[in-house]
Amino acid sequence: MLNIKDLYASVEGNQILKGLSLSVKAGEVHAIMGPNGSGKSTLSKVVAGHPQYTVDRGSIDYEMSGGVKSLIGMAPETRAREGIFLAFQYPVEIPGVPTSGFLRASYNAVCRHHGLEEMDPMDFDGFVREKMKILEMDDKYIDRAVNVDFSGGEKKRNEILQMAVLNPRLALLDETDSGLDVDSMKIVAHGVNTLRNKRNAMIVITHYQRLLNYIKPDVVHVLYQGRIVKTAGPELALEVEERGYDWLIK
Amino acid sequence: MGSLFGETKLFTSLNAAHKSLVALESLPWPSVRDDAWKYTDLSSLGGSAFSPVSERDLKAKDIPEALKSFLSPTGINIVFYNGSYAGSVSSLSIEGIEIGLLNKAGADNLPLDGFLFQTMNAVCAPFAYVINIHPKKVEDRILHIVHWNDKKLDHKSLFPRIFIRSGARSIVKIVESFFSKDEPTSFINSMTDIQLEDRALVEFVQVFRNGKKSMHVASTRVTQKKESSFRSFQFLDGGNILRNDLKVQLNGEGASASVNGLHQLKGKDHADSHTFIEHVAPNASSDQLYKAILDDASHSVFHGRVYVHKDAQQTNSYQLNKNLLLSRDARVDTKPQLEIFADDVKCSHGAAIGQMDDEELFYLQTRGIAKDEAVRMLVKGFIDDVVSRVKDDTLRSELVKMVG
Repeated sequence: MLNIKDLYASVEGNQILKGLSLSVKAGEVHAIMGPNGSGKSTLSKVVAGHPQYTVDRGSIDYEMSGGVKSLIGMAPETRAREGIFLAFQYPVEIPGVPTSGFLRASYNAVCRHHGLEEMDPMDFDGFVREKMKILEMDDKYIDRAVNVDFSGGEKKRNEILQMAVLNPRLALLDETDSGLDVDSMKIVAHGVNTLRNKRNAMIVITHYQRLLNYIKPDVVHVLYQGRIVKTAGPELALEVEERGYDWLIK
Repeated sequence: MGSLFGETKLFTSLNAAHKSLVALESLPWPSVRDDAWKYTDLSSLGGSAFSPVSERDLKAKDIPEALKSFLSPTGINIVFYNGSYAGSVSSLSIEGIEIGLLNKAGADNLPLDGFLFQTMNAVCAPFAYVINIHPKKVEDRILHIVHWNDKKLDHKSLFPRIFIRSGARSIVKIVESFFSKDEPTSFINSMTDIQLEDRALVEFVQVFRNGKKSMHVASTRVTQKKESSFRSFQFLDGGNILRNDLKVQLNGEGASASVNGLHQLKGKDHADSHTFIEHVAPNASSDQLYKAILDDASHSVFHGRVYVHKDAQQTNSYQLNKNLLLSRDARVDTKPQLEIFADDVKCSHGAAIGQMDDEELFYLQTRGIAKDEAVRMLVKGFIDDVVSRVKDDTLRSELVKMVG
């Protein structure tokens, strides 16, 4: 589904990714771990198409509706409509824009792209409320401005709600566990697991093994200085938890 | 040395009809060296001739269809067409609300407080219009004060003068709109006074939409007695020069004021809002949010002054000014000013000037929303955030129609 080869990428003149390669197939969950500054968030921003990040070298190929295409230079909204979803580490507050209208605009933009009929406000309201139940979210969020006056945990749930609404093929979860207490983390993980199936894939970026107790990865990578330095099964996460990163990077 | 009012072309053009304006000729004409006019250059106004609307013009016979369709079918309408009272399309009698023209003699008895434009208005206004809301009157319909002008106002001046007195425990909602069709080159100097008696509640919306060639200097003065509540929203929709002075005096204990506004500017529009909130009595509160959204080479000015008197203990006062620049050539000048002489108060102020937030745009784009649509959503969000301060649903939907 996603094939990254020898990727070099920069932000504000600093090269962060330095020869990263990663291949993700449908049905797989990949975890990416690594110390601060290793390039984890950069990877997610580059795949989602953040305009401040530039690809210097290498390729990012993605299997989409018209066959395999390069993501480089593609608008972020096109990537999103083709099923790429980024759950933000720091979800953005958007004053004045109600969550309900935002979710519907988002959902309908994806529908239009695929030539599908848009959902009317009444049906959509019911559809969203079903998804909110999975995340144990209070109905009041829907009427409030996007992420404004949400607690850290509420913001993260709102990210997974958007994921549930858009039902992406490739989801990147950027430190979705940061700022969550154990109960909230279980709810978020439950939401993610509900969405997991054979046709989609997930990349879970995390500092801690903790989240991976709830979202079980098929593959674990350790990222360091912009490259993947170790790839193994789920046991790698436990080993990192126990021994830290030093043994991998020396 | 700056020039005097008497030396301006504007003075000469007005003095022909208003001989008593001579009393003002030695008043200084504002220059950008004056603090209050630092960012609003009036030299083009002073250098232009705007003859007053004549007695003959004042007899509005033929009301244009465009004006009729502008009026609210469900509200109470008080209509002025190019400055003259349009009785045929105005609501005549409303139970519990007295409406009437006060002739010139009445206006002359009003105290002049030395501000050039306010004094000029008092001298030049052909009449004052008085709206007296009886105590305990609760009116559900919106009271529309409509100043509607067209090309006939080209190179002319208008001096609207409105007095509103809301009696004790009365509840009203008022929209005062200044609207000009076909962009006349005009000068409007308006004065609106609102008095709130004990426990009166007034929700007040003002709309300034006179086209890009208009020059408008507007003064709104509000006085509040005990436990009265004043909520206002001023919508400044551009103009060559649009200067808006709003003064709110909280004279009665427990009074509250929520004072809000939006500048929506493009082209070479220039809008300048000066607010002055004066806390005289204790236990009163004021809350201000003014926003500006600027495109092209427009210029927005906000000067928010809060003055808390020595005896106004337990004052709560908040002020925020936020500006969104959509163009590199747009300009904002903002100046919050707090003067506090009481020691037991909670006051805060802030100002922000920014461009469209790239992170907000990216966030919306990652949800499949195209960039241009994302920009529209963020602009709308920026506006809705302040428009939502209008609490009354019908009033807010009236406003949304005009803003959108």
